[in-house]
Amino acid sequence: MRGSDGAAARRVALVGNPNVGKSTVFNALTGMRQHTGNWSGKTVDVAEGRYRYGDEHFVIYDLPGCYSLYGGAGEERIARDFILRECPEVTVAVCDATCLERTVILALQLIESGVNTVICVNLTDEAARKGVSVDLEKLSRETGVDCVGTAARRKRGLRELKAAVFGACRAEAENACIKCGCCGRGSAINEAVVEKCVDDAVNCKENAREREERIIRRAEEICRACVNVSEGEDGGRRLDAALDRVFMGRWGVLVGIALLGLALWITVVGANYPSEALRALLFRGEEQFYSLATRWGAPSALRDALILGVYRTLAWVVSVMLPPMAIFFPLFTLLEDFGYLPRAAFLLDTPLMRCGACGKQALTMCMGLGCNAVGVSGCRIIDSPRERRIAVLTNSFMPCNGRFPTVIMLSSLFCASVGLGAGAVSAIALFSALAVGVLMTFVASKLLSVTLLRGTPSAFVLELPPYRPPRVGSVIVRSVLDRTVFVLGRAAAVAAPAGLAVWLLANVTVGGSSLLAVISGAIDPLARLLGLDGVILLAFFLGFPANETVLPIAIMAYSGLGAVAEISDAGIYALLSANGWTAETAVCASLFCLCHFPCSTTLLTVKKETGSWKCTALAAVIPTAFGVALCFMTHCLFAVFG
Amino acid sequence: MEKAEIPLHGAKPNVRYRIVRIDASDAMRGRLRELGIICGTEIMQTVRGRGGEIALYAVKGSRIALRRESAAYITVTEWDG
Repeated sequence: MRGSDGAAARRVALVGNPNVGKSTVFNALTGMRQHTGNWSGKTVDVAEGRYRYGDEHFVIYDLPGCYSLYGGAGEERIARDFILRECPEVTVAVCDATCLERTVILALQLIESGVNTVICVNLTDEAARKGVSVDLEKLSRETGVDCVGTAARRKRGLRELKAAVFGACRAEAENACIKCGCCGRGSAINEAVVEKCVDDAVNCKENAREREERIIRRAEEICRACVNVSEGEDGGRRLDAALDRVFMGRWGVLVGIALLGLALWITVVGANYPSEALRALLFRGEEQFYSLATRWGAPSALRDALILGVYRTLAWVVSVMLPPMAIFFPLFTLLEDFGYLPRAAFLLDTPLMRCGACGKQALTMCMGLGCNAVGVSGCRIIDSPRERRIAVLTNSFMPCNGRFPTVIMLSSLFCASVGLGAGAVSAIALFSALAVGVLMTFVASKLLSVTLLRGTPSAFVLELPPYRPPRVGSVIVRSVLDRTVFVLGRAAAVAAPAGLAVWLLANVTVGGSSLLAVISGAIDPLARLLGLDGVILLAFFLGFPANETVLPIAIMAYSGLGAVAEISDAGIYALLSANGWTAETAVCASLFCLCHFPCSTTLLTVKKETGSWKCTALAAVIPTAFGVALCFMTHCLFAVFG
Repeated sequence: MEKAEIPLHGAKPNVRYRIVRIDASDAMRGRLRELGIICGTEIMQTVRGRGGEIALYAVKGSRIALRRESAAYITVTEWDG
């Protein structure tokens, strides 16, 4: 590893218990923007960044959270193996000042294993709010290593931390490698010796328990000496406890529903304005481009393919899909930042346990609301392989950000078609759709746990984070921007070719009718059984690379080639009703949108996470089977009662 | 006077207890140990979930959610100061 001036860069690892703010420290040191969130298990991979201190270059590694050097499974091993095998020059043990007694244990284990450690007591600001202060000098004397207090969110204490790391590097250089003599920086690593080191550190089974308990008691002792809690000022702690009772106590479920309902309502109502403005702007643009291209004498096929195909699909995605995505995502991120998501896991644990799944699945479900691919990789936080697989396979029942707007459009369409129109009503329809998604997750989890993935629920221990006031401004600005850039990027990569494909399908004719008509006609009888029609079913298939393109593709296909006269919501309803859409079609399309094969990105993630094609196939087949069954039942119900 | 020993899930909310015994499997004990939960540790139930299948406990400044069946392995007595 070389710095820009050619000198060897110092290697520094960040370790600590989950949710003590390692990523925040990492970001503060490197100026990077690694995603941070207020819950345990956020970071699942090793991130690497650089910073300079004086003339020295440092490479810093942000490791996934881990509670203990001994034992531990999955994610926790990543951090341990990294430190023991890669032998970074300095390991920064990040601790949480608000619960030092627990978080300092890992630091003590590191020090005892001979790792060159610097203790970083983070979250000192939060601790101060809770009337907790840590005597760093005393802590340093007790542990024998440098201790630095930081408040990484406020960028406090970073200089001191860098100085301490630098100091520890120099000490390390003089000591060579105390631990095992195996790692001589830059020299070839003797794998066998490292293996033995790891083994010794980890598998001294006889006295591992005694050693751990001794360290825990030592941590108690140290904290009695170094931590001061001023009784009068523990308002923060009491507020946390009161909030916990509100969010998880008797009325917890209702409060959760209200919170989610509020977020949905804001999304539905708030999306209208930017949506209309964008539509007006983009479709005015279309006319201009069209007339410009005509004036310049562009070949008409090319002009139509690019403007009526590519541009128009892009315009639909941006104007109809982007606003709800860009509104819901930040709201969701605010809840995450605040620390609500693990509380939802607490609430949903009991039903999930009854379904043979893990309470942490509620967390991955929440992440699935943002993006199913993220939800699927988040399943790593679930320890039991059986329960992890259940969570992976059922994640796509949660409508991701890309499918949300489709459900919004369809539910307001449904409301309009049965004579209800207000935003609140379509928020309720949307909420019901989400409830269906959650219900289906439970049903599918239960089915899996009594068939393919039989087993008993494993023990469940979940640490809940403290509540943190969300950084409203930066969260909103950043997630709106990130989302917008992300959606625009995907739109360019996926919606544009899809638009071209639809245009071609609509314009290449076989025997007098367009390919589009032929294909959608062919699958139409099947689609009718599901309460859908051929076009929307085809759109679901064409939208496979990105779900946010499904509705735009359908609209394109319906509107054919003529300029869309009316581009307001009312215009879309008129267009869809003219093509035979009823309340039934809207309900069935929503259900199918909730329950069908996930997008290609998600499936690739499933393959990556499970390493099994069978699992990947199941992840596509299970939700599709559910969707088909639900739609068929709905169709029958409408046929009987409608 | 000897204090009564009760399983953790039967603990009264907002009362401090001391852990006297943990009879869980090795894996579960390991998990609890990682969270600093060993014999002698102070623990307090802060929120009981609806239905009583899960509850939240305050341990060493952190909040740990445990299912009833896990809490049943932990025996506690009231804290005597």
